[in-house]
Order: sequence, then structure tokens, then C-alpha cells
Amino acid sequence: MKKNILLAAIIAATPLTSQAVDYSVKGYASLIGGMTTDSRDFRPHIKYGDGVYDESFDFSPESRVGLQFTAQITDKLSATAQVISRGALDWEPELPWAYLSYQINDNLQVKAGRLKAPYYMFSDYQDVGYALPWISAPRNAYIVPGDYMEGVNVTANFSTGAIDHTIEVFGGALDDTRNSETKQEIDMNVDAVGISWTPSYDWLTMRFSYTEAVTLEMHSPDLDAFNGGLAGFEAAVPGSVDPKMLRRAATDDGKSSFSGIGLKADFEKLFIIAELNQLEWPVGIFAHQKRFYATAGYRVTEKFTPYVTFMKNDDTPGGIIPTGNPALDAGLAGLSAPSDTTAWAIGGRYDLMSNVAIKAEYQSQSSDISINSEDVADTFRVGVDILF
Amino acid sequence: MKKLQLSLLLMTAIFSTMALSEVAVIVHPSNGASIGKADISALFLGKKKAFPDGNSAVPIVLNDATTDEFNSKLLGKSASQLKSYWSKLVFTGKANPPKAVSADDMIQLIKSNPNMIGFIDGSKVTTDVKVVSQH
Repeated sequence: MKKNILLAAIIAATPLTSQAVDYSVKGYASLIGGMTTDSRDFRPHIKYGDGVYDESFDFSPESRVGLQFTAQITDKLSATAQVISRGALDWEPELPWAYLSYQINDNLQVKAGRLKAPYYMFSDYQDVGYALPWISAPRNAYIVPGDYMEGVNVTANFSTGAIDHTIEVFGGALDDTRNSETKQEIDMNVDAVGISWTPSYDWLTMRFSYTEAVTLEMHSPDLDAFNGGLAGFEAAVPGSVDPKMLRRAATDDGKSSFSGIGLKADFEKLFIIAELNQLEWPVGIFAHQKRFYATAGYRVTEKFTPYVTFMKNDDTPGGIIPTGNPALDAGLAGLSAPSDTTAWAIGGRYDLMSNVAIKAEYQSQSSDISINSEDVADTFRVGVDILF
Repeated sequence: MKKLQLSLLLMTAIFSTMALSEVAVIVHPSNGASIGKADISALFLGKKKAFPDGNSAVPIVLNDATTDEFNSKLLGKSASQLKSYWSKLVFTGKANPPKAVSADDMIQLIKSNPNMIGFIDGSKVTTDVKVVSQH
């Protein structure tokens, strides 16, 4: 399946006629090494279950290399494919982007094909480490497990007075993903539609985004076994499982929505970045995640930019009605467990050359209610980001 | 050693350009649009794709140190900041940075394309192009 997509992308990126097509190949790479400083494990990404930092220094969890091929077919039509290889996935290539782009006029662009869902302020270039002030966007707020999508994105750019606006409307089917906590492949049948609005005025940029899963069906060995357990217990002891619970635990008739507010304020030397992101499950047993972070950075020189980040999780548990079966209730509690983690990080970026940046970050987390290592692990990371 | 020599040469080149001259923003002589500093910045950052009079605009930059001067004076960005800025747009298919050409090609391209806008070291301006502003 993955191979077919790759082949399609290569064909899509190959021009129909050989003359007058403008090709370009551009790339980026991040070599990131890190370890936890308290012998716990930390997964730096919601999607890549195999990428885990532990107490031994490791380069594989977040290191990656990306290559983008673009063919400008006419002045309005282009084909683009971007391939990423990640250490967390044993360097097996992925294809987050493979699309045709048509520039309708100076203000309107349509893209169709394989695209990344633009949930967050830094979704679009989350993997391009060089374009980020941090080693990675704060993990606590980047919470949606699937973001590779086959679909359409319409982007409009326009101005009202001194304010520039970007509005994106997108929709499509989300691709399978690998859960970070269980490392299992999640078989997804999710159709989502979303919109984002990004007004910017001189030093201030805001971003408002909303995405809704209109159909949501998820299967993984763990989820299916758990649902089977609930149904089985209800069959054996009728009336023990609340009908609402049966419906909520079912993963083939789900609902989910994501909303985010982002802010970037840039005062030449001082800059502030903040996001408040929420992932809700109106039907379902998973916790409603409400995640916030704020970063303040300071450009000490043209090359050196240290920063501090504050992060706060304020989840509410999913709607759980106990069944009386200890094993099932423990499973329900686990699946709906909220996080109340408070964390801070200190780090910095140094621009070594005009296309090479080195970075370092230490992050410390604490929680009053969770012993899940995801919520409490402390990590130290260093990295090199390159554009080529 | 070679690298050191090269970077010294580069630094000398940058400093001498900065010390000696101004950057002239240039367009085709027939271009009648009134183009301010904010318009120039928007065009060269890919935020606008048309001149204030509505005609579509194609910005081009120089492949020499004058571009760094232009970037810091008109766009207010260092080379790293600008690279970071464009990488965000390039890797999301939103826009591509302006093409870089030599000073000779700059004059040739601007004088033969009414839609182009570029810049050049003030001392190299010819009567074939129209100077929008000097910085």
C-alpha cells in the first residue's frame, strides 16, 4: 500500500511533457540525540511508537531526513512530493506530501492529493527542524494521532488594511497511524474536514483552527480486544455494562474534534509563541485533552537565540461508567486517563551557518495524578538542523 | 585554509559593498505603479504577487552580497531568518523564493520584462531601467 503511494507520487512528480518543466529538489535533515535524565522513557512524538528516549543516549527517536521534489508544469500548475525517512521507523521512507497544486489566481491556491492536516500553528513544517525555534514543537500540545490525509486543501490569502489573512479549508481521509503508547498500528477510517484562519499584523500573528472527524472508525488489537471484552461481559452478566458505555467504547461510530488557538508575537529581539490545543471525543472513552504551552525567546545576537517554555495539561477524563468487572474497569480507566502535567523547558538555538543550526533543550515534567512516564519523564536533547 | 581565505574574501566583499553604495530597487521603465517600501517587502517575501496597480509581479534577487544588504535594509531579516522563513513556505508548497541572477542578467531581465522587480548596487544602474527607490 505504502509502496503504491510512493510510486504514484513519483509518477505525479514526473512531467507530462519534457520541455519547459522547471524541476527543483530541496531537502532538510535533523540529527537529534537525547536521553531521559530520570531513567524513565519518553516518547517525543504522538505518532511514532518506536521512537523512545530512555536513559541511554540515542539518535534514533527523532532524527529524520526529508527530500522534496517539485515540478513546475505550467506557471499555475505544479506537482510536489516529499519523502521523509525517520530513525523512529527504521528509516523506512514515508510520504507525507504528494499533491498537485493549482494557483487559481494571486489569492487562491488549490492542492489535491496526499497532504498533512494543518491542525496546529507549526503543522506544516513540523518536520523541518531548521524552521523551528525549538528542537521540536512542544509534544504536550501536538496531540492528534493521525495527520497524513488524502484530500483537498484550498488556501486563500488576502489583506484587509494592514492585516494579512490566510484561510485554509481542507478535507479528506486520514491515513493509518501507529499509536505511541501501545506501539500498535491503528487502522483508521476517518474522514475529517477543517478550517483555519491566520490573521497577521506586523508583529502579531494569530491562528484559529477547527477540525472535525465526520466519520471515525479506529481499530487496533488492543481496542478491539477491549471492546470484545465489554460486549462479552455484558452478554455474560446482562445489565452490567451501561448501554452508553458500550456505545462509547465502540470505535466504529466515533466522533472527535480538534480546536486550536495560536499566537506569535515578535518584538525584534523578544518573541513569544503560545498555543492552546484541544482534542475532544464527544462519543468515546478517551480523555478530553486540553493542552497549553508558551515559549519566550530572545535573540541575544543574530545567531544565538535561547528560550524558555512553560507547558500545562488540563485534561478531563472520558465519560466512564464502571462495569463492576475489575479488569474492564481498569482498562476503561487507563484509556480515559487524563493528564495534569506541568512542565518547563529551557533551550537554545545557535545558527552555525546560513543553513545549519545547532540546538539543545532540557525539559522537566511533573504530575500530581499520573505515574505514566509520558507525563513525568525529564529529557535532555541536542540536535543539528540542516537545509540543503 | 581555503575556507578561511574564502570567508575572508566574502567578508571583505560584504563590508566593501556596505560601505560604498546604496541598493536601488528597479523595475521596467513602463511600470507606472507607485511602489512603497511595504510593497517591496511584501513582494520579495511572497506575501503579495501583484504590484499596487494590479499587474502581476515577479521579484528577482542578486546572487551576490547586495542581496544580504537588501534583505537587512528592506526586509529586516538576517540570512538565517530569511532561510528559515522561506523553508516554511517551500516545504509546504505555499511559495518559492525569488530566483537569484547575476548583476548583468538583472539589468537585462528588468529592461525586457514589465512584470519584474529587482534591485542592484546603486552604481550599476543604467538608463534601461527605472529606479523605484534607493536605500
